[in-house]
Amino acid sequence: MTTITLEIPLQWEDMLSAAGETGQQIPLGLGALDWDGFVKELTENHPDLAKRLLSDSGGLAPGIAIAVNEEMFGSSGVPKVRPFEHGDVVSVIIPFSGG
Amino acid sequence: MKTLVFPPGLMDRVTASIRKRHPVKSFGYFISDTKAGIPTDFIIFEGNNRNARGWKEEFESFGQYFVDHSDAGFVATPEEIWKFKKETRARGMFEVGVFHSHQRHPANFSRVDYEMHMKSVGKQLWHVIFSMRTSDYPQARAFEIYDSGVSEIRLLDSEKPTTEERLARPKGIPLRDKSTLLADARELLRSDENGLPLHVDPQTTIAAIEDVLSTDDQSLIAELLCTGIFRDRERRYDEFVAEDMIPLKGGDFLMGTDRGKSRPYCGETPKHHVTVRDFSIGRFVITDALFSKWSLQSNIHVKDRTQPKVNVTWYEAKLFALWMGCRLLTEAEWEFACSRGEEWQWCCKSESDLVEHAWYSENSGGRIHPVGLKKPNSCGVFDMHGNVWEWCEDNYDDSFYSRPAGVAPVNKGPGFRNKDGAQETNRVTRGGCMHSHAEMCRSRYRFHEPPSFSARDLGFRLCR
Repeated sequence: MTTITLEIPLQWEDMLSAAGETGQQIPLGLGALDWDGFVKELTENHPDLAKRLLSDSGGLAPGIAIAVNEEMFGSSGVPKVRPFEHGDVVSVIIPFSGG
Repeated sequence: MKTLVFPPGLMDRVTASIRKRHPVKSFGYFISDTKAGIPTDFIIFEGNNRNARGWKEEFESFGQYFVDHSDAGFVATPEEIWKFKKETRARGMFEVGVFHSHQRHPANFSRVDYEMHMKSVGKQLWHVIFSMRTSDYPQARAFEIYDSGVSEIRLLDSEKPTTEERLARPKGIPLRDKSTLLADARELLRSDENGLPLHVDPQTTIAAIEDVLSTDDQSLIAELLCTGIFRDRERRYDEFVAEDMIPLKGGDFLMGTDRGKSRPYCGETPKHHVTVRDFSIGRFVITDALFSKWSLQSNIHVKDRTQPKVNVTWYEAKLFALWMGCRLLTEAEWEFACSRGEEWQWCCKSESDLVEHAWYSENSGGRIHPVGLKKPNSCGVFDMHGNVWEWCEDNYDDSFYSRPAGVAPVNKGPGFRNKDGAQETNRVTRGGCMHSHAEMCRSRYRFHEPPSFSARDLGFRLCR
């Protein structure tokens, strides 16, 4: 079992609390090191989070980016450029937007 | 109303940065040394993904305004957000608020702002909007955002006095007796042989008039209203205004909005019973042609006689109204005349009909149109929605609706001030303008500006 920590934005706290999650950091027990494993884990165990993070096709939702440890990846690059490793901290980046 | 205090200099620095970038939109974060503390610094983002694939379509789904203006709306790039988060963390600092500038709109909070704030920032952070629509006189407003809606918070620059404060009468001056008040007002109301004012500062003139009106001495007030520039006000009314005034029978109506329906809007609740007396209202907003009769604008070049008069302060609007034998509408009168007590959001049943009555974000082409080209409302009044915002008489107070309204309410008491101790408060503006989204053109939508502010989309209408 590979465990990575998913660092979610502060503003999602309430939503996750309502969904039974706690805190800002969610350890994910990944059965596989690749993106598909990540998507599967999120979809099955954290559906609310998956809804915010992922597009229907299983990529990142529009506007969402991810940083693994201190390195930011483009929205399509995460699984290809670098597979997840045990102990990774994955930060979700939601761009500030408005009218 | 809660208060957000800025440390000395910070508001000036962020405003200067935004002005320097204008007309490019600015947006960024305020940060602090402590969690949820007072802001100590700010960062402005450079990149803007607003027109990137996916985002462009999302913005355009909010309406024609976002199709017409590709610079409306903003999206920070993930790279900048990530860099900002890392650096903030490394400095041991915290995000406490966000801000963005409006190039054309007032500093008001819209449905787009609300939805995107909730999605991208969250309710822990407050939000300041800077309006650059009059770039020499930027306006800033701060908001707190909740699941249940938005509320305005007072934004205080801890050092800088407001315009009103700078112009306010110094404390310690003894109260003047009634005859002195009248004499002072008379001096300021002196006119030339054509009945035009010799004194050219409407703000001090209005202050002197208000002093007399506040005595409630009807004989004194009557004497004032036949003094100097007011001497021929009835003749002017008959000659220039009367034929375009519509008499309205007063009555009871429900003013404001139910709490559950007012989410992104400020100060509209609670819905409450109000009684207005009979009054007459201008069929149109004041035009350039009519305003050009006023000496202060005697050199105006009137291109189109039916173009609304804009770039007028509340003081100028009020003095002009009195000069014409009229006054400004109270906020209650404005809403009564606009909504006619109907539950509808506009003078029409739905937004799809609004295009028949108003020049607004969806059909104005971003410009002001001559008065009276759209359908009037059910009482024959034109352009109450859109085209130009309209000054009202009242001081703005977001809690005014919570106080007992009584008959013919008008707020001349406490209200929104930019700084504690300021002598004057912001005045209500209503109706929206050519840039406004339908939501801002609603009959019940309230906004406010300092009385010495003017803008190219802000005019007024007469009442009597």
